[in-house]
Amino acid sequence: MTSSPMLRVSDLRLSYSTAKGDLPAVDGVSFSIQAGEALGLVGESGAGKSSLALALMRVLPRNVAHHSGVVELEGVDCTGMDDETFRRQIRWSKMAMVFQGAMESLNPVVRVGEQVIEPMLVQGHVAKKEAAREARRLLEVVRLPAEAYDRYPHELSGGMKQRVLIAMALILKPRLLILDEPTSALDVTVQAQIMDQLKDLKKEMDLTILFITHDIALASDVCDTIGVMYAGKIAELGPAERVLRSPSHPYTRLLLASVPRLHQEEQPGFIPGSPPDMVSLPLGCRFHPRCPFVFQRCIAEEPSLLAAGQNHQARCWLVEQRP
Amino acid sequence: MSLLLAAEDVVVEFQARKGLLGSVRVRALDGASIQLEKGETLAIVGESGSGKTTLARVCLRLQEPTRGKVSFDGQDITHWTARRLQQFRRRAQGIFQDPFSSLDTNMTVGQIVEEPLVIHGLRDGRQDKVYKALEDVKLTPPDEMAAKFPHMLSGGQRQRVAIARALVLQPELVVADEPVSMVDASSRAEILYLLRELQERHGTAFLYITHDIATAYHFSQRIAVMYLGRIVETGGTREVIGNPLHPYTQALLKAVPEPDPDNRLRRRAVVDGEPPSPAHPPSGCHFHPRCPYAFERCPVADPQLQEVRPGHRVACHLWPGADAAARLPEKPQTGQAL
Repeated sequence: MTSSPMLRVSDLRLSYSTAKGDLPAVDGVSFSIQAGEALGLVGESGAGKSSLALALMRVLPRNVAHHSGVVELEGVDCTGMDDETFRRQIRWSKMAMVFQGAMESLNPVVRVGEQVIEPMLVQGHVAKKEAAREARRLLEVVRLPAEAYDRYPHELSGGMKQRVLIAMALILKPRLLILDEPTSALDVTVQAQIMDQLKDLKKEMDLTILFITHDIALASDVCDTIGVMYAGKIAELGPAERVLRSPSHPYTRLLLASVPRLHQEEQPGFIPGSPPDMVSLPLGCRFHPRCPFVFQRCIAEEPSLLAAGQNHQARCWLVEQRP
Repeated sequence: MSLLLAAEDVVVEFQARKGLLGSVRVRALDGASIQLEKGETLAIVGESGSGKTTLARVCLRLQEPTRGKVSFDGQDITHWTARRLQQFRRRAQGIFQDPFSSLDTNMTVGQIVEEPLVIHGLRDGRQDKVYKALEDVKLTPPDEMAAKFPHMLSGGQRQRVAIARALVLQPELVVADEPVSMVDASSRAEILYLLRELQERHGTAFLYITHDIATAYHFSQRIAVMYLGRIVETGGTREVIGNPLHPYTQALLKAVPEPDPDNRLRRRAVVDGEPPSPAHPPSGCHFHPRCPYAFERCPVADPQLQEVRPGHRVACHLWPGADAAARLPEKPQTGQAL
């Protein structure tokens, strides 16, 4: 018998009401992450990756029109929880997040250490001294010098601020950490350092990671499983080896081909056109207007996620035709 | 081939505020030299604070250098007045990073692309030229696209409007400063192919400024790697990326992620630290505090660019003189398994 996964998401839906109509940002997404594993969610801007993370953390903008689906953490269904219970029992203590662009959201007039301990103080039942000790320990874990605790955000470099945010997310010892584009504002050498750091944390603290990025190459740096999102849905989901080495969905293949490789004569490719207007989606497969392998059925009928191998699924009719 | 643009030993200093009343002198460019031939693409690669954007601005003469010389097509334009520069501006155009802020939201695409023609008083066949430019960047049908406003376009489409605007004058030089960094990864190559196609058709020379050494590899003939205001390595792109000599270039190359599922099983182990502020550059070789090979000479003497392999120059004390047979010392342990 296997234990329940760290996170199981079933048929998650989230739509926003906009002037043009309802926008289904997340449209029936299901996946699970086993404890200690990292799942990468990859896709172009507007694919619904960040909306999905916000829905998991229940920090939603005001214009949400519809929100449904089941979210289970270590077998516990959080769906029915009221917001206050979720805040006290789940958010930050069981599941924490490093938000996209949060580096610029640090309070400029508060020492970073004080910001790192804030979640602990808000949760109550901890003396400030004890919280500070824990924060200093965590700053060390993310390889920041001890004196960083007393610094102001403007005194820190981009990479250091990102480490502060990771420490802040870990302060209540969550088992699940969500990272939304944690390195996109950083220099490439610093990006590589942060990725090494995440690998260490995953191993040393047995962290479960949901890693959100537009960069499929970056996802390969830490993720055991990769989910490719397109227009609010999962287009392909499977072990990193399978998705990166033998992708089943044409979108994944094109995404991989668009990564410029060094030392290879093969020139990077691109995906013509742009992602669909989420308010008036194409009929059939959502990728069909950009797909080089499109045939009649793709235009008429939307594929479901079809088995493409062990633990490997792709939302493409071509998968059915393969032996 | 003949020389189109040359920057010689350019220094740019800015006064930055420090505290309430004080100011500090920041040297954004610390003696950088480049040469660009007609019709070729030179990539300038560097991280934040490397001075690559300042170099771009100097080459477009949007920034007057503190010291050094800039010449274009044989003429010294270093200290030309705005009035005199107007004829230069007709021949040299820029494409910038952010297609969301570089286009006027109150103008239609047609007006945006037409504006350079208006500024330079080119009256004949304006609409034809605008439509032609829009067709060149594959914004079709041009009459429909010309009527749109920037907010109706995707990031990639906006950047193509910026390219059409830069190319409508058929310039000889285009300085493209991070033209694809804000475009979705899946569309980046499309924009770069477009630039290459236009280069082949019109013989335009490109200065391609980027932080991304992997796109530089595929879209430039020559490359210059910058660190903290200085060019640390330069040469033919294939040569430099195939045989990187400067430890910083090596680190940059190692930091490029490739989609390999084995990546998660090993540490990348590039270099420690981050680029320091140009306000407080380290002594000697600016890279020495982060360099895994630094030795006693590095903090005390500025290394000069010198040719180590044919056409391949590097500024690093590991390369004393043009010793083509020399190899780097044994590398420190990197990339160990987790």
